[in-house]
Order: sequence, then structure tokens, then C-alpha cells
Amino acid sequence: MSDETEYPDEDSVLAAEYVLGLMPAAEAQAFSRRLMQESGLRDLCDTWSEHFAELANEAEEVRPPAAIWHAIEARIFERRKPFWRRLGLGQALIGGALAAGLALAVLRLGWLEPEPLPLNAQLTAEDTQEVARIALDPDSGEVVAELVGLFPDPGRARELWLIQGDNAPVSLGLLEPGVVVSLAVPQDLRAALAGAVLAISDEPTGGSPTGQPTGAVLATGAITAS
Amino acid sequence: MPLVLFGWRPIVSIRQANEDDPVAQQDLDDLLARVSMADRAAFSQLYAQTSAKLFGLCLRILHDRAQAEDALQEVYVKIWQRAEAYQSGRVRPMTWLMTVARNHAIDVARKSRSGVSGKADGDDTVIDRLETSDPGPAETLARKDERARIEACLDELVAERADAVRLAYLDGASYAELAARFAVPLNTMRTWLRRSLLSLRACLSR
Repeated sequence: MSDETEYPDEDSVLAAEYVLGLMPAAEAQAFSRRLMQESGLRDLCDTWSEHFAELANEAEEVRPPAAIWHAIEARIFERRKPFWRRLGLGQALIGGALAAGLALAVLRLGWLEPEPLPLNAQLTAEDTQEVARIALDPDSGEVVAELVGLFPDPGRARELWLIQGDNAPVSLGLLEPGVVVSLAVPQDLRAALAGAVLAISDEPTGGSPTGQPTGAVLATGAITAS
Repeated sequence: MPLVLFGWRPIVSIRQANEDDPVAQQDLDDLLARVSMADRAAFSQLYAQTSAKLFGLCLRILHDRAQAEDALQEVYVKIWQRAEAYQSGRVRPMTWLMTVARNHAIDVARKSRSGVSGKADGDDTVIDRLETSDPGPAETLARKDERARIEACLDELVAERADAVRLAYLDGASYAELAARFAVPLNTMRTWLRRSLLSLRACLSR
């Protein structure tokens, strides 16, 4: 909704300072808030961006070494491969002793994959019921997970927990029956994922109200790389 | 929604923006649109067409080859991830690409200049804003010879004031750094640069 107000000089200068990144943080935040509401102000910033981008043309063009492209390609497209392959870890699996004889299966999930998820990489023992398919990327902390068994009763939910050593469980979020959800491991916990334990608990809708598991733990398994 | 921008005369025809190479701009627009749909071929074509420019910019900002190479990687990963937020017609595609590269490189440069407290969160905010705004003034800007124009306008400034603008854009210099460099108090520096920006704007809208 542009209005036709002519912005005062002051705003144009502020826009330039904002685009250049010269504003002190507090001012920049205040300016961002205005930007969300004033399209005329956004136009000012775009105009400055266009002008300043011309300065970038002062920089001489330099062809980057081919290795850069390969690295970019690998980072973007290799995500289709399971992260443990990229890491050279062989295969990661969640195994170990399982509560109630149930298992979490780590599955090859490529999260850029537009096709239906491949379902053939189950790594659990034959006699265990598959509860969830989970893949983790220790680098980015991304977790993709799908609850495939032990669906919750009405009014209940399934919550995924990360347990590192003797620390209290940390919630990674809720699992959805038959739906692939994307969760994240908090940054400070990413370093020590191997050997940590994942668990699924039964919780009220919306998840544990206390921040700790309140219902039965339905399945657990160690994250291992083998 | 007519826009009146400080003497920018709105022009009627939309895509005459790049007299120097309208085809290339149109191509970039198309490429970005395809990249936003995760089209790998388009992405490698985009890289082939633009990487020398963006790498040159990263080198210019970072003055370090290894850092610039890392930065370039990050920049293209961002471009891949955020292409769908690029809105055709808001700013030129090359401006968007340059802004992503510039802001990332500046961010790296500032981090490696330890002890410098530049503003913390602005870099991405600027990109986000470029991405999320409604259709904007790209169409309404008369931009013939824009490059020559800003250079000419900078030339009208006292030399060191023009340098200060370049330093802010191409080196990500903060007011504190500029003040130290030109040996003036911080507030003077800010007044000084703001005045330069005003003159620039006046000149650019002539």
C-alpha cells in the first residue's frame, strides 16, 4: 500500500544508512519495523540498493577456481544422499536395547527429494516394530522424522527427545503420524550426537507441559555411526 | 499505485531498464525463477553467468582469496535456498545477487576484524526486505547509465567523502572505523557521511 507521501530527506538518508549497514543495531531494528509498514520506505531502500550495486561493478570480475563450483554442487545436491555418507560414516543407525521391544529406524531421507520417501532402508531387527523413521544431519542439526507406528490415541501426542549422557532429555518436537516433520537439534547439542539417545514418549496433545517427558517412554535407541 | 520518489520520474514502460543488456537481465530473471523451483541446470547456468562477478566482489571486499572462495560458496548456497524469495521487478536480478554477495562478504569481513561492533543483524534483514516487499520501484526507476551516473555523482563529492561512501559499501566500514580512518570524531563522521548521502541523492535524482 504505497501512499503518495513524499518522504523527507531524512528518511532517504536513513534508508541509505540502513542499506549500507551503518546504523547502530537499535536504530536498524526500529527502521526494520518501519519498513514492514511503509512500502514507500522500502522503495527508498531498493533505490539505494540499485545505486550501490553499481559500485560493486568497480570490482574486477575474477573467474573462481572450478573446485568452488564442485564444492557448491556437493553442498546443495549431495543432500540427496544420506548425511552419513557425506560424512563418510558408513551408516548411522539407532539401535540398542529398545523399550517394549520397539525400534526407531533410521532411514535414508533426502530432504530435497521430491519423490515419495524411500522406505527400504530399515535398519532394525526383524522382530521389532517400526515406530519412526528418523534421519539427522549433525552439521545443520536438521532432523526429519516420521511416525510410522504406535500412533497416538485422540488427545495424545508423540514427542521426540534427545538424551545426551546424564543430561535431562531435551525435546526435539512432536512427531506426526504418517507425516514427515522437520525438527532441529539445538546448536549447542549438535557436536555430541553420536552416542546420544533418542526417545519417543506419550504426551498430551501439544506436547509435554513440563519440558520433560511426562508419559510412558515408548521407544528409545542410541544414535550410532557404524 | 503511483509513486513519487524525490524527483525519480516514474517511467511507463516496464522493462526497458537495462539498455546495456536487457536480454541478459531477462535471462537472469528467468534463471532465478527456475532456480527457485530447484532447477539444477538453471542453477549451474546462473553460476556460470554470474560467479566471476560475485567472486570479484567477494575478493574486493575480503582481500583474501581463501576467504573469498569460502564466501562465494556460502553466497551461492544462499542464492539456491532463497531464490524463491527474489521478486522479479523489485530490484534487478543482478542487484539482488550482488546484495546477497556483498552482505555476506561484509559479514565475514566484519567478523574477521575482531573487536569491531558493526550492527549485528542488519545484513540479512536487508536481504529479507528486498525479498519480501511488494512489487516496487524497479519498474519506476529510470536507470539508464546508472553506473556512470553514480560514479559521476560520487565524483561531485569531495574525494574523501566519496571514498567514505565506497568504504562503507565495499568494505563494510562502520562509522567508528570511518571516523578512525579520517581522524574525525564519530558524530562528525556521521554528519559528514549523511550529508554526502544527501548530495548523492540530489545528484542522482537530477
